[in-house]
Amino acid sequence: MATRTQAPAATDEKLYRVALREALNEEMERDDSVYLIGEDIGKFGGAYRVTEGLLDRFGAQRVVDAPIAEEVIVGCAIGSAMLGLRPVVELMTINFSLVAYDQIVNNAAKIRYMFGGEAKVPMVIRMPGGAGHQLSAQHSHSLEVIYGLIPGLLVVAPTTPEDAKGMLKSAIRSDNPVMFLESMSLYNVRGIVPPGDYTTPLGKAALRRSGSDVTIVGVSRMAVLAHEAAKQLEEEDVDAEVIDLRSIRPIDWEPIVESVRKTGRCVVVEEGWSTYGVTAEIAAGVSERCFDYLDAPVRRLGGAQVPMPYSLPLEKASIPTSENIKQLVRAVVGK
Amino acid sequence: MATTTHTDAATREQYLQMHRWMCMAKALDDRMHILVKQGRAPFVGSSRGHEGIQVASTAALGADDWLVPHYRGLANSIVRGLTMKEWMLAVFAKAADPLSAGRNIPGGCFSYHALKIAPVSQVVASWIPKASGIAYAAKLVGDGSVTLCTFGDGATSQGDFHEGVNFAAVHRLPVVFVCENNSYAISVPIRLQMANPDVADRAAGYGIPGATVDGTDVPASYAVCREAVDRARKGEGPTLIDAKVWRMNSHTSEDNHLKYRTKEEIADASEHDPIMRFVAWLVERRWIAAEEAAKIQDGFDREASDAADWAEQQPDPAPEDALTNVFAAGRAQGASV
Repeated sequence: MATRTQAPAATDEKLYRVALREALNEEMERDDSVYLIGEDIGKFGGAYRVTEGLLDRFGAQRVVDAPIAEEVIVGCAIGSAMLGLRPVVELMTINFSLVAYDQIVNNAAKIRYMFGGEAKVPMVIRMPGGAGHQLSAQHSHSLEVIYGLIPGLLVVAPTTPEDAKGMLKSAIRSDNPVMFLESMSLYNVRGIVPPGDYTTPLGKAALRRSGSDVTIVGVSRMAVLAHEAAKQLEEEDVDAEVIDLRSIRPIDWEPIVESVRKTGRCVVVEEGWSTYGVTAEIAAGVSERCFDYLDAPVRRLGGAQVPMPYSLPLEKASIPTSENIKQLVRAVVGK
Repeated sequence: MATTTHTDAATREQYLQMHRWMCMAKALDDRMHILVKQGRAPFVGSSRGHEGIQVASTAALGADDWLVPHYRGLANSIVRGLTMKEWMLAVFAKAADPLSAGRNIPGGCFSYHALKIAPVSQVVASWIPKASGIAYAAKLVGDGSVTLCTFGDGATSQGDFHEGVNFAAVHRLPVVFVCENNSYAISVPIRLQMANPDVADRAAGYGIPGATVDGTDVPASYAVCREAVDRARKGEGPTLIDAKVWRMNSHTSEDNHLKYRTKEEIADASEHDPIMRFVAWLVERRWIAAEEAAKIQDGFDREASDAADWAEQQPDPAPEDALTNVFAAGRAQGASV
C-alpha cells in the first residue's frame, strides 16, 4: 500500500486538468443541479482525463456518457438548462462543436432574447482547441472567433490552472451559456491553485507582466507564449507588458487600452487564423481607441492559414512560436 | 367517412372542450390570413388541418407537463391556456406579447413559461434534442412531468430527430414524440423525403413503441396519446406517434401551394378537415347540434377579430430596449462587446 511520504504543500501546484476536475467536483458537490454530459466522460474519464473519477462519485445520472451525437448533447443540455439544471457539456474538441453549431448559435445564444427574457440557459460547454499533437486538420484548430462573434454567449479561455478552476466555477454559476475554451497543450501545465472554494470573474483580462515598451495581448495558449517571449526579450532590453485576454466575449477593453496608451505599441497573438480573427478584432479596437497614442501600427500574429497539417515539421511551421512573437515585437519597437 | 375508429377515452365534457379549442385555433388562423391579406400582419404559418391531433395530444397532458411544439402548434398552445388576445399580441409584435415580447416571429415559435410551453426554434427539428433535455431534467429532478414534443414529417429527415429520439429511448425519458405527418416538407412530398412513409415504423429501430393514428380522428388520437403519456409517466419511456393529417393551406403565407399540389389534392385535403369530422361525430352522438357547433365557431371568429383589433392598438416594444435580454441579468453586454 502506498503511504504518503511528503506533507502537502501549503499552496498546491496542480495540473490544469486537475484544477478543472476540482472545479467540477466542488460545483457538483455544492449544487445538485449541476450535471455533466459528453462523449467518454464516464468510465473513460474524458478524452483528456478531466472528468476522471466523477462517474464513481456522482453516478450515471449526473455524469452522462452520451452517444457520439453532438447535436443532442448540446440540445439536451439546453433543454435541461431551460428547466433550471446547470449542465456542463464536454465536447472532445472545439472542432467537433461545429456539428452542434446550430444548437449553440441559433438556440443557446438566442433563446433568452427571442423569448423576451423568459428563459435562461445556464450551460457551460467545455472543449479544447489548439494544435501541437499531430492531430491534423479536424482536431487542431482553435476557432475561438466563431463563438466570439455571437451575442448571447460568454466566451472564455483560461490559461493557468488557477484560472481554469476559478473561471470554470464562475461559468457553472453563470446564468448565461458559457463557451469554456480549454487548450490541449495546457492540460499538463502545472501551476499554483489556491486551496478551497474561490471564483475568478468571467469577462476580465489579466495583466501577466508589466512593461513599458510594448503591449502583447495573447489569446488562450498564446498568452503563455507571449509571457515566455517577454521574459526572453528582457535580455534584449525590450520591456514588454503582457495581457492575457482570458475573455473573448466580452472583451475587457479597459486594461488593454490603458496599457497601449502607456506603451504606445501593441502586438496581438492568437493560435487561430488571424484573418477575421480574434486578433483582428482586438487590433481594430485598439486602433480605434488608442490611435493618438500609437507610435507604430498594431501588429497581429496568428497560425498559418491552412488546414492544420499532420506532418510534425509542417505543423510546427503552422503554429506561432515565442520566437515568432519576439520577431514581431522587435519589428514593432524598431530593433 | 367514419367519424372515429375509436371508442371513448374521454368524457362528453372533455370532448366538447376539445371542440371549442379547435374552433378557437381555426378562428385565429382564419383571422391571421385576413390580417396578412389586409397588410396588417406580416406572416401566417397555418395550423389548419392539424387541430385534431394537436388538441388530442395536448389534452392528454397534465398541468405540470411540458409542451415542446413545432411552429404550427397553435392549437397545442391554446389547449395549454394561450388566449386569443395573447396570441394577437404576438402576431402584432407588441411589448406585452407573452411569447417573446415582440422578439420572435409569431408561430415561428411558441414559448410561455407559465403555461409550460418551452422555448423552441424555427430551425427544423432542433427542438427535438431540447425536448429530450427537458425530459432528462424531469427525470433527474424526479418531478414526474411528461414532455410532449411535436414536429412535422419534414423534421424526421434531420439528424436532430434521430439524435433526440435515440437519446430519449436510451434513457427511457418521459417524452411523447408526435409527428404531425401532413406529407409535405414545405413543397417536397413525402415520397421524396422517406422511402417508408410510416414514421412510427422507425420506433422499432429505437427500441420504443410506435403507433400510427389518423390525426383528424380526435377520439382515436386522444386514446393513443393518452396511452403514451401514461406510459411515459410510469417510467416506461418514450413513444413515437405518427399522426396522419392533411395540410389544408399553403405552408405559410410566403408560398402558394398551387405551385406544388394539384387542385384535386387540395380539394381532397379540405375533405379531411378535423373540425368537420369531429363535429359530425359529436352530432352523431347527439352531444351537440350542428347549429350549436356553427354558433360556437361564429362566436370565436368574432372574438378573434376583436382580439386582433385590440392587440393592434397596444404599445410596441421600445426601441431603446432592443438590446435587453441578450444576457441574463447581471451580465448584460451591449453593442460594444
